[in-house]
Amino acid sequence: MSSSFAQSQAQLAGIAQQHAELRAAVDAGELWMDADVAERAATRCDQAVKELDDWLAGAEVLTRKRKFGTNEDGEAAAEAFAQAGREYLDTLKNAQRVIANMAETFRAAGRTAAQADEAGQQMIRGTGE
Amino acid sequence: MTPSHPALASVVVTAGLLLSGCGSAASDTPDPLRVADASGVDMCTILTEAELSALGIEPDTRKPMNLLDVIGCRWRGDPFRLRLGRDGATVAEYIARREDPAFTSFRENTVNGRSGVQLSVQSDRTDCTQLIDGGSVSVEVSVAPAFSLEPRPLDSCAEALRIAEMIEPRLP
Repeated sequence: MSSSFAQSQAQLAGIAQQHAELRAAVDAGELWMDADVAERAATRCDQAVKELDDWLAGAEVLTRKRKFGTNEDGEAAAEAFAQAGREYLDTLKNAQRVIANMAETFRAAGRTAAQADEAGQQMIRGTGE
Repeated sequence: MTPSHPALASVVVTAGLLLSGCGSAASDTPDPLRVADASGVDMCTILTEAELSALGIEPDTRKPMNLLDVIGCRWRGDPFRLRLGRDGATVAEYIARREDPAFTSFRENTVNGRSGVQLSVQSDRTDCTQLIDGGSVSVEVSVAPAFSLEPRPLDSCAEALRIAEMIEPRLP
């Protein structure tokens, strides 16, 4: 049986795949964003990464502090909880990676638009001379 | 009874050391120091802002926490984030749980002569919590790498021990 965290990991993998396709489109010059909009989106992603740091700190305490009995049921519960704790921490860290990559993509898309603007202006100046 | 005054604590420690030297065979491993109660220590202010900054911590990111009997503060920084707290569970209680599957690493150590424990809970063991004997509580210094898409190598346990050694002389 897969845990809910395993499902979250699978969803994150799907998001990462979609993001990789967007990044490829940005790198190919097929997708761009207004530089200000891109920076605002990237900044929000940066903030989300930091918020996940706070979640991680709390989850580490939760994982460390949980105690169960020394009987058979308690040991089984401890093992299950420890496993869930590790998966939760891994999921949070993977989410940070996905969101940080999104920030990079937004900034790249903003650079693409800025470069396209600059190229257009140079072309207009060249035509006018 | 646990002594709460530093002077009383030192008398108790001295008496304990004297008594342990009488009538008992010398041991290769010194007994850990008996320590005073650190349950009143404010871990949020035990390091100054200048000291935090020198460690790469951003003092303005301080967030208080009170979770499962762990009371303290956490900060973000580069190259690591930091959590300082006092934990209602003692070092001895953690040592009794050393086989708990929640811990991905666990080892006993000392911090300036006080008994301690270093443990990790993350699967990649990049985090490290250094616990220090604080009498009826343990004092925690937790270090984990700050998130980066290009992480640099960091020995979290070495950093946690270094910070714990800064803090230990300020404990009762």
